[in-house]
Parts: sequence; C-alpha cells; structure tokens
Amino acid sequence: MAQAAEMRNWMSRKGTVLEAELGSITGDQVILIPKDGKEQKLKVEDLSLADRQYLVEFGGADASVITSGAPGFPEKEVHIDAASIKKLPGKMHLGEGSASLAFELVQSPHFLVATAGKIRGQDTADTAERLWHGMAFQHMNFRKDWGDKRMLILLVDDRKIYKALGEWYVAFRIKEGDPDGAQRAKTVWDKTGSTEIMVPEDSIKEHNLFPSAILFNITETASFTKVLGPFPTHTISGALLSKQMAGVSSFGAEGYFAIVTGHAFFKEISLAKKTETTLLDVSGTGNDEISSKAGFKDGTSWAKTLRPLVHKGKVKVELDAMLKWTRADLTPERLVLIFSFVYYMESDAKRLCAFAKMIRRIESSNQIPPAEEIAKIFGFDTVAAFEADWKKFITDGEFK
Amino acid sequence: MTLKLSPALALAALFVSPALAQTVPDKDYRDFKGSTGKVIQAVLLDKTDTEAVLLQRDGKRATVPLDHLSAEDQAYVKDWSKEKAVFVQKCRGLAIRQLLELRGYESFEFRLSNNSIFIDGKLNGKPARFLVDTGAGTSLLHAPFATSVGLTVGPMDEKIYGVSGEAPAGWTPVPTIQLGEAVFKDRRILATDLLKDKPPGTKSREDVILGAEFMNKLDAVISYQDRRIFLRPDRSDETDIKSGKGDEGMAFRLFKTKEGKTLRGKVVSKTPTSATIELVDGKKNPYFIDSFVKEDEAYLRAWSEAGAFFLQYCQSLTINELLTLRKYQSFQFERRGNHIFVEGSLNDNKVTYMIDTGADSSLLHLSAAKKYGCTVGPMNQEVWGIGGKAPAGVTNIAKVTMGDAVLTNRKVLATDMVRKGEPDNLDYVGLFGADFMRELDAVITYTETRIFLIQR
Repeated sequence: MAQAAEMRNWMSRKGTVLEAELGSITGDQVILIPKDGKEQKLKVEDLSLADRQYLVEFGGADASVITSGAPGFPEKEVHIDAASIKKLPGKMHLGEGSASLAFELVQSPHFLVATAGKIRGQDTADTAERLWHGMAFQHMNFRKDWGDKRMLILLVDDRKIYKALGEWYVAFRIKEGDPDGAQRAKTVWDKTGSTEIMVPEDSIKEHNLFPSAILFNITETASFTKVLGPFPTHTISGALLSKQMAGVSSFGAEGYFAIVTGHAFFKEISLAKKTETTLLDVSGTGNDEISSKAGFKDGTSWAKTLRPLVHKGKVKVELDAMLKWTRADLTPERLVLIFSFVYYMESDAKRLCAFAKMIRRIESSNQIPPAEEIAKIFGFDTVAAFEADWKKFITDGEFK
Repeated sequence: MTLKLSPALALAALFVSPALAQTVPDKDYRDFKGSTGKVIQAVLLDKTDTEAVLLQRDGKRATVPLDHLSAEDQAYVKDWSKEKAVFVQKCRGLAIRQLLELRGYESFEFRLSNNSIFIDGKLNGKPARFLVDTGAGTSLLHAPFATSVGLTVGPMDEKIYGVSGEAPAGWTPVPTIQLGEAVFKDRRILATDLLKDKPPGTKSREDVILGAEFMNKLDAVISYQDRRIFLRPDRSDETDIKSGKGDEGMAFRLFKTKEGKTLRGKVVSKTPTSATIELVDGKKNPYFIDSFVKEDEAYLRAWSEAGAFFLQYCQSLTINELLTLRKYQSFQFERRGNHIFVEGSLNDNKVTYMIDTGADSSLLHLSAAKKYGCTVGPMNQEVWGIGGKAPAGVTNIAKVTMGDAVLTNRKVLATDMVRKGEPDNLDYVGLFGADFMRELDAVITYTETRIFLIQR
C-alpha cells in the first residue's frame, strides 16, 4: 500500500542497514519499500529494538512488537565486513618536534584505532564496531547522537612510548588550563589499564573525532588480539553507555557508578564469558580501570557465589542503598550485586526496553532517576516490588 | 484501499488511464448532500459538535455547519471517528518534515549540545553558530564574534538581563543575517560579551542567540523528535525565491542546486536521471536529479507519482491534526511579548511555565518552588547566565504536569528569578526547559501557537 512515510535507515540484527520507507505491518511481519520500489518482507523480530520503537511510535504498531522475542546478542550476531576496517596510510602525531609520538592508524566506520608498539588495531576495531552495533540496536537515539564522527581508541604496548605519552599528556593538560586533569593523569598513569583522555584540537579536526578518547595501556596483548576480548569489551562498553547518557549534573550523579560499572561487567561477562577487570580505587578517577587477573574471581562464579548470599539474607537487595555506592564503598559482594542489577535490567526484551527508556531519560534530564522512578520505568508501583523481582531473578536461576 | 501497490503498478495504471491519477480512490470519497440538495464529493477530515471539515475533490477545504447537511450525512458525521478514518490514517506515518517541506518551509537539522539547539547560519556573510532560544526575548550577538566578522559594536550603554543579573550591551548594526534562504537586512541587534561572566576556561558555544522575535517572524516549528527546526523564508525581509501567491504559493517545495540556486516548485514527472519541476510561475523545466544538493537529490530519487499523488492529500493536514493522530496532546500557548507561556501544574497546584528551549535544564523561581511545596536544599549550587552566577538550591519536585503528561520525582535547581530591587510578583513559576521537552518529544509551532507533547 502506498504510504506517506519517511525514508529512514532500518537495521537488522546482523547489522544490515536498509534505507526504506515503511510499507505496512501485519502481525509479526513488516514490509519495507526501498528507493528501487522492490518490497522487502522482514520479521519484526529481526529488526533492531530501536526500529521497533519507531514502528510503535509512527507505524501504529502494537507495543508488544518491542518486547517480542529474546534480546539475544546483537554484538555476536552482527556481520562485520572485514573491508570496512582499513589500515590508513598516514600516521597520527601527538606532541611536537622531536618529542612527537607517531601512531599507526586503523579506521572502521565509527572508530579510529591508533597503535604504538607491536599491537595491531584490527581486532579492537572489530570489537568496538560490534559493541557500537549493540548500542545502536537497543538505544533509539544512539545512531543519531553519534552522527558522522569517530571515537579514537589508543592502544599502546610499548613501555617507552607509553611513558612518553604520559609526559606529553600531563604537559598538554597544563597547557589547556586543566591542572586537575594533569594531576589525575600523573596519579593513575602507570597503574591504569585504560583511561579516558582528551584529544588535541588539530587531531579532532583532521580525523573528525569526538573530543574524548579511550587509551589502553597494554601489558598483556591476549585480549587485544581477538574479537570481544574481556577487558576491551568492558572498557569500550562502559564508554559507549557513558557517551549515550551524555553526562550527569553534579546533583544528579547518584547511581551513575552502579549503572556504568554494572553494564560494563555485564557486557564483559556475557560476551567474553569471563572478566579480567578490577576497579582502581583512586578517589575521583572517573573511568580509569586497571587490568588484572589477580583481583576478583574471573566472573564465571559470580552468580553462583551471590545466589546463596542473597538467599540467606547476607547480601540485601536494596536499590536505594546500592545507587549511593561509589568505588570507595565496593566489596566483592557489592560489585557482584551491581552486576546483577544491570544484568537484571538487560535480561529480557521487556526489561531491556525499560532500560533503554531509562537511558533516554538520563540523556535528556542529566540525572540518574531515583529508586522510585527506576521502579516506575520498569513497571512497578513501588521500589519494594522492583527489588522483589530483581531478587527473584538472582535466586531463581535466571541469573547465571 | 485502492492506491497503488508499487511504483511499477502505479506507472502502468497511469499509461492506461492518465485521468485516474487526478482522482482520489472512490472509497475515500463520499457524496455529501446539502440541505438544498446540492451534492459535493468530499472526504471528511475533521468534525466538531456543530461543524464538519470537508476536503473537496478540487483539494479545497470547506467547513460546513452540520445542520446544512442531510440527515443521513449528519448521522455519518456523528458516527465518524478520526481514528478510524482510513484516509486520514494513511497520513499518520507522515513526518512533520514532509508535511512542512511540502508547504515551502525550509528545514534545518539541528545539533543538540547538552540540550541546547544549534543551527548554522551567517552573520554579515560569515558562518556563525546560532543558538535557538525561545526564552530569549531578543536576539543577542557575542560581541567579540560580531567584531571579528566586521561589525561595529556600539557603546556598551544598554543593559540586558538574565537569571543571574545584568550585563552591559551595545547596539550593533547588522547588514545581513542569513538562515538558509531567509535573509534579514539592516537590523540592529544588541551585542554583549557572552563569556565575560562565565566560569574561567569556558569556550563559546554560540556566536548568536537567536531570540523569539525571529522565531515569531519566520513562523518557526521546532521538533525535538525530528531534531529539526522549520522556517518560512518568505517571511524574512528578502529571499531570492519567488514565493507565489498567498498560501497557495506555499504548496510548493524548495529545491537547492549544488550551484547554490534555489527553486520553488513541485515535481510533475521524472525519468531515472531527470525530474520535471513546475515552478511557482507555472513554467515547467527539466532538471538533472544529480544537480541538486544531497537531501533534495534523495527526495527526487524517492519521488514517485503514486507517493506524490498521495502526499497531495495529506498535505492539507495541519500539524495539530497530524500529531493528534499520533496521540500527542497539545496546548495553545500564550504569547506575552516574544515569550511563550503554558499552563500546567506543580505539585498539583495550577501554575504557568515559560517555554524555554535555551534552558538546558528546567529551573524554578525560588519563592514559587517553596510556595508550591518543593523541597529546596541549601543554596550551595550555582546557575550561570547573563550577568554571571547566582546561588541556587537543588530542589525536589514531586510532580509536574502539563495536560496528561506527568513527570515525577525530578531534581531541578531553584534560584531567585526576580531582578534585584524589583518586587517578587512573577506570574510564572519558572522555565519549562529543554530537558522536559526532549523527554516529551515536544513540538513547538509559532504558526499554530501550540506546543505538542507525548509521554512515551
């Protein structure tokens, strides 16, 4: 049927993007009409959650199309075209003159991976693209907000270069009138496995980058020479979610730590099947993390350990209290509870949809909703009802 | 319905019977009999308790009092519901953008920085970043920027006011301000140093604050969901585009060529490589599709006879009708000077808010916040604006409503919004900012003087 609908990009679970207008929706099928007029019939379930949201808001589809089917792992199902990840001929330079540091470049549709040392950027670019797809699949505004820019990821496994980069960065922050940033970098530089750094203006312009980048200090290359390695998955997932939340105000930050950290661990453990991340506790360090296998157990036993503790009441499933925790308050049990919180929120299509709604709310309101609002977003009248459902999730076997 | 299944089919039908293209599918039309026995063929678009809005075959609208219709027609109108009306339902998927572009609006995709709306334009012929601010009663130039594009900022002997105080400003003659096709000539605009009272190290986000007087003038429509602002260039002082006569002239679309020429016209036919456009003066000319800018090229490639034929009928919908179909609710807003105000509630008290796209976060007036039962924390926060910073307190709002939209448990800041030395008799409680409007996918139309909201 002829429709007065708009041409837009539709995305499938596998990452295929089709520019088409909405023809019609019947039951679990949708007809899309691309420019060439050749109608395409697709299963609603294979469309991204973001597209299904559009079907409800503009196509008059029943809200159930959003929550039908299992959420699955779009990060694993997406087909990444190897040809879309290219080595660039030129190099990126940070710093000036003889102290200038040169980085090899690998470019993918949404990232620029700059490397120094023996490490290669292809696998990390592939990982990042998968995680990007996962976000675009679930969060309506993600693609639009991202626009045509790239996010810079720096991989450094050469000790000398890493040290020199630290010296450059401290000087760069001072020059930019950011002595706090310089001090912070100094404190964590050698201890951190990944940190967020600001990109100089000329590199931003030259490569059309976002102003902040992820820097990996690589001591062990194993996670960076495969796709969806645990530590990069953790860090990049956290960075992408933070970017989508677009910052919170000083008085609206309570709960930010739990959501970002829980999400990063959830993605790491569900996609890489284990964790190799421990959190570095230096007050006010933001998103810095150290990579160490010696910290917490590797994630495969988290659910098993938490379940009896919750069952016996040794760990209390309390939302309001948990939202107040910061890095300094963490114990292994608390960290695993935070993990279970985000795991719960992302565990099925209906909850994932509420999670996406919550992230949308944070993006516009610049504040983490308080406990009673989170409960409401998830369809509960009271915080107690939310907690009961979350607790049931932990103890009744869904949490694995 | 009998509209074409695919462009190929539609084309075939056109070859067989070109006349068919001029007719709306019969199913959508109905014979309405007047009390005098005169028959008109029309589609029912809308109704009230006393009137019916009809769209006639010739595309014209008529509002007919119900008692002028036959009993049968009156019954039909009575039973008719907009929700079920097939014809109108088909327009439901229409984007606001499509609707407005069909009416000669120029659309600008805006950037959101935090929650603020930015578009690119030109000041004195030089590229400039414009902040779209419905809360700014008058436009403002960033003085150092104005100087850098060759303008002369007059003596700083004027005063401008913001939530945090006042700042000196100087009248600046501006030969041209350009937003897309809209050009304003020989204006005088106040300039101030927008960074002077900001925290040290702040970089300027905007070169020009585009105030409400321009939005009013250009019949602006702002849609957070589409992330677009729509303006009518023919309402500016000057435009190169021929505008046609009256509102009928607006039933033409703007097309921009890669060479920077703008046409106003409508597509009448196309081949894979070229499109024939009927210009506003009635002339028909063929153009290569790839000679247009990207967006227009895409429009032309997607254009189909069947689609255009259909859009022609959707086009007569107002934004109000379109968004009502999508279950938006709307409120007539009140203009006071250049500001716009809407009624709502604060903790179940009936109050008035100022609609302010320039406020990244909603803000309450301190005494109003206290009066209406909000918990105001210590005044240890700051709000920054023209005139520097002012103390503010984190304020918990239990409930804000506007129509059926309900926002609960929100934290905002509250500050004293009354100018120093003036009595506290503000007749609104604060700013309904971009945070709430984004959450509620707000659409603001200066033409229809309405704000539309939807709670997702």
